[in-house]
Amino acid sequence: MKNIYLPQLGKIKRVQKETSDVKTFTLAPLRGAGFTFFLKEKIKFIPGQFLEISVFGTGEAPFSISSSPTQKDLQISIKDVGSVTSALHNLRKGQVIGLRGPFGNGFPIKDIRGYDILFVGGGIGLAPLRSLINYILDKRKNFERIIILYGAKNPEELVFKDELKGWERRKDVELLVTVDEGDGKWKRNVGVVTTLFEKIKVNPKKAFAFVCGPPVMIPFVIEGLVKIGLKDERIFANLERYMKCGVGKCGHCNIGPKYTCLDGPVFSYKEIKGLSKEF
Amino acid sequence: MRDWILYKEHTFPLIRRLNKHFEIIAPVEGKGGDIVFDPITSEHDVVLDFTNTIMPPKRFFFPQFETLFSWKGKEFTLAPPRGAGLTVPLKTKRRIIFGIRPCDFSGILFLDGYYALAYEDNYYFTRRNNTLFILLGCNEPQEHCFCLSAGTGPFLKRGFDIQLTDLKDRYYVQIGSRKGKELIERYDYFFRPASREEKEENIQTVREAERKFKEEVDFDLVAKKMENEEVPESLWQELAVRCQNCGGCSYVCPTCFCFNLIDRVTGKEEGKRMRTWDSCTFSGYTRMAGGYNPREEKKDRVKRRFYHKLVYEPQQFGMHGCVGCGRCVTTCLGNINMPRVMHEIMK
Repeated sequence: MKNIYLPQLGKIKRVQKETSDVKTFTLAPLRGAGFTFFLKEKIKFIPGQFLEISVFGTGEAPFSISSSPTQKDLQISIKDVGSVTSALHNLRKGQVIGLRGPFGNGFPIKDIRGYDILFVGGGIGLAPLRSLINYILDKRKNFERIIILYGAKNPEELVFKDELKGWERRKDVELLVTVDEGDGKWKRNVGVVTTLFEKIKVNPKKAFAFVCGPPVMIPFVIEGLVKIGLKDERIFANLERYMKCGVGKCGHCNIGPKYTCLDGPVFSYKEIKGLSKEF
Repeated sequence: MRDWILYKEHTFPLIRRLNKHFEIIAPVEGKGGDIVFDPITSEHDVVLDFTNTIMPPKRFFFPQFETLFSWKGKEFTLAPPRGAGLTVPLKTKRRIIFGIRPCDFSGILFLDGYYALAYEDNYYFTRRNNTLFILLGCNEPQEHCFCLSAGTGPFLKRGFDIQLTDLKDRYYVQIGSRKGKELIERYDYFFRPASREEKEENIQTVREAERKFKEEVDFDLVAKKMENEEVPESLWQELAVRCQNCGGCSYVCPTCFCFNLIDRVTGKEEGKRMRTWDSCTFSGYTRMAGGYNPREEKKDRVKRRFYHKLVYEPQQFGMHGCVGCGRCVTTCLGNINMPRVMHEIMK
């Protein structure tokens, strides 16, 4: 029987500062060529899945993988908001972490081929979406339009700034960025992310939408998407719960009869609607 | 399978013999006079005229505090030397739980199902698979017992290794598994085959016990009303006022499985990851980094607790999250308890 709580050892390969309180960590196995876990192969994951990362002595917490499985590096992007995240922010290159996973269902990558894909992200919520965005961009010809709506509190808090510039330069990506409060230099949209909806035209029959952001944002975005005409089963959101064990045992992430760590963290609006008012 | 008889005067010699090969966990009198499950040092420790122990024997499979792994090494978190790794302390002995009540054993059957969903919990199953259960059915249900309504007692029809029924000077012995059969065969000189009259006596004893229940609730009706949202929010509000967030109901519950994972630093570059019991009634249970808490309101937590046990768990794997042991009735400071809540909903 496999020990489902035992992490494998890894190390921080690289640290990239995104904002004053967000860093992207590239992870590598401590020794050997690749991470292995439940599968006896190099760690392979689906965009939208998550890892349980340990900082030994502080604890363990779940983080969405922010890199794409089509890329070489395994990355997580973390905002410094609690004890484990804060301990991670203090780690330097070469230091040891523990890793379990990948866990969760991930995005429905098989179902969305040939469709327009609309992303709506808020703040650090762009991290899991980035995994899917880069996955799709690496398989660009399999998809139609790619529309990314991204909002943050202010220009400084936009994450993946270099990558945003890259996406903006591409002719086959439609990127719209907004901030709640601009500064002197900000020339783009000011307002919450839903204000970007009026600036795009989406054919609801041809589109899937993926939403990730702070809990307060999600219901408003879903409401907007439903108004555009997207069907409930074509709208997906990452729900945020404290998935302590990641394997459906500890109970912390349950919503209705579902476990966010097993049945999610990606849920269609159709599923969420049935999960009572708890979300 | 054939049924057997164990004379009461042979019970202690049997336990003494079993104790040579197994660790025996049985009801014993604790220091404060309560009856508790504990490993015995002698067969004379065992108390068999008890109603039920104050805690179910859940902790022998899912301990209240448990080290999952530990780490140690010069500069472990900086540059661990080759070979340095995480140490798992999990070791078990072959064990027999003697005298477990059918309701509590049903709690174990529930945990078996839960801890095998999607991924097997290796800590639980390593202990579980090394344990044999000898049940003692209940001739005298107590005031708060409602296992008959829950379908988990006072006697079980299957699932156990061995089940004993008290026939005054003898125990009627039923075998429910291969493990149980092998044990009886190995110690067959303590047993003799049950007669037809004794078989009938056993059936009568079970029937009599079933007639003695004072508490009766309808699990299906309650679940249906809850699923159809026919329960007024005011009920949960009223219960929330009574709830003291103590977690006692979870700790005494044979089916509560939630846990927390925490790290304990035991020295420089040395520490352990532990799991400890947790409770969905605690306000920090769903709180996340950054402060967002989906079940901040006590009302939502209390409601969640009952929906989980009575609606969601039957949906997930066909078993109620309540075995009718009645412990939450006597434990809750605010007199919130399962049968009381169910009666409110049934009204």
